[in-house]
Amino acid sequence: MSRVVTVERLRKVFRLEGGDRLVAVAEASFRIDRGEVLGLIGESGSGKSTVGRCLAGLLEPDGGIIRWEGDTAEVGMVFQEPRDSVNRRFQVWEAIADPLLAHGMRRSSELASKVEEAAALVGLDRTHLLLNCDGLPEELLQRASIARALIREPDLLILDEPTTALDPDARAGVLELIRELRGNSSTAILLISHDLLAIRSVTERVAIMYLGKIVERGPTDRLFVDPLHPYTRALMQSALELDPSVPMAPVELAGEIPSPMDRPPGCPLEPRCPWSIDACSEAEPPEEDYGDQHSVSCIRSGEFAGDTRLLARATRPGERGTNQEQAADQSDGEA
Amino acid sequence: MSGIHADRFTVAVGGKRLLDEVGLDLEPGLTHAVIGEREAGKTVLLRALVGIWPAPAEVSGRLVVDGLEPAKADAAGRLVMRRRRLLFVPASGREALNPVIRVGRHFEDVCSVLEDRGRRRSQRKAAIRDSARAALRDLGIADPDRVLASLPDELSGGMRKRVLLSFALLLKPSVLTADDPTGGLDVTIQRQLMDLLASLRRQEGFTLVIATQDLGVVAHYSDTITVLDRGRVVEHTTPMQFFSGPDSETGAAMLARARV
Repeated sequence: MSRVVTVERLRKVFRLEGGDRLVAVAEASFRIDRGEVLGLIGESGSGKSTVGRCLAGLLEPDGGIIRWEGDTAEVGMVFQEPRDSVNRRFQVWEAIADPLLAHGMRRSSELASKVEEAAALVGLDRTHLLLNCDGLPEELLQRASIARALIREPDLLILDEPTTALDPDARAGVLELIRELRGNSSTAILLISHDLLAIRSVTERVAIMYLGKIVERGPTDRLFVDPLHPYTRALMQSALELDPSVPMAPVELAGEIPSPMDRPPGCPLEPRCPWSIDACSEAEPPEEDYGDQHSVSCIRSGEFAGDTRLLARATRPGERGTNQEQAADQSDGEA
Repeated sequence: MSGIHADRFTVAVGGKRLLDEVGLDLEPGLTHAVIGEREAGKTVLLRALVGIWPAPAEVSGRLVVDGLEPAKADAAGRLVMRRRRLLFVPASGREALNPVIRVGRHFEDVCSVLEDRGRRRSQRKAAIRDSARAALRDLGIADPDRVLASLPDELSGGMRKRVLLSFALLLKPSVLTADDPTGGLDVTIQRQLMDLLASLRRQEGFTLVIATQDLGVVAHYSDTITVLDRGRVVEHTTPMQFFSGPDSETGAAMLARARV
């Protein structure tokens, strides 16, 4: 698979009125290949949307490298609220055609066929194109805004919380659409979300972000079953089983996410982490490589990987052995 | 008579029944979940429980909430209901908050129904600020002063939601109805928030009614489940029964979709 973009040590700092500095992205490194969906998971204030906006060129990074393969990169972006990203006075076709019109394409049969093509990709047909955006059901509107982002055939499609504002039916529809788009080999997709089940169902790889830093990244299956970073584990534990007889795992993290204006020294999770030791607050933990592109920024991750009981008490014992064997086999993976 | 009792309770607008002969018997002091597809009438029901319905609605049947009959209340009666604290927390902070009024001022407006005569306005204002700060901290907001000084649109959706819930917590309700309380919130905050609502409910003894599409929340935080379909109650059950096999088609369809 060919690479679309490589991001190394991305950093973005906002300077606020009064001279305060808000470190939105402290350190983010990842790469995305064509035809794959990378999930970027994080809570509000984690900096995940800022990463997306830097990639889309909406923000200028303060540090690090965004390296595109190829001379020019086309990026399409979809935002959380379809009603905010589409001009409601447009008909659906105008909303989809808008990026081409903005780039100077005339109203022509070529434009019409491109609009129809993009609409078809997201499951909209000709009858939808003449509807007004205002009053359109939210799922159709979100599909239209995805078509709009696809119309210039982007190398990278960024979906920023595309299902958050949708009801369960619409959410299922949009997730199905992302699965279909994944097969379209020319586009890579960055799916930014805090919807864990959504991310799990449509991505191959995920990156977990906390307070401006990617703390763990790797294959989706592995991170969901066998997370090594205490924050990833806490996230996975907050998902609720659809069975009242399965006891809820206790919430292990104390307190709340600190303000990005006041990042703790060392590991960003240290003040909340039940496994923290003195060394955690001394320096930012380096990324440890666990093979198969799985890396973790936690100085105790080696202990957790060696004795998973330390970290993953709640995981079913049957799944444990196989994952450890895999980890042992995959020592030559790429970072 | 505490708790919530409805008998053939119907709310219709222009001949369309938004709630259709609803019968309910909800024990006080528990958490009751109302589930259903979109437009099933969940929000209409939650609002009706605190005496709010669309202006030209025809309301019939009987509804008794914490000894009060919202359908029969006049303006004075509605004030009694507010003071008795039948509270509704809407799903979206965007619609509920005035975009040109700062959040701190919203807290003052919300607290204006509280009876605290004998205090100077400035003292009252300071007291409201203090309790607002505490309530926001309880809901996981690290920097409450920034939130109080913000306009609603300067906050994230999750933040606005927490502001709405903190209003409700300040007013110490006897019945709290919350429309989609976890929608749009971070997962760890969803757990924190439901844990907080559950422990407040136990502590303060209010009756909590939530409408939600999140069956994970329903499974772990509710004592009873009411399934609505086009304004009708099609199933009333417990989580144990529901998750081992819903009786209604609507319930079964919702559970199947959530398990995908």
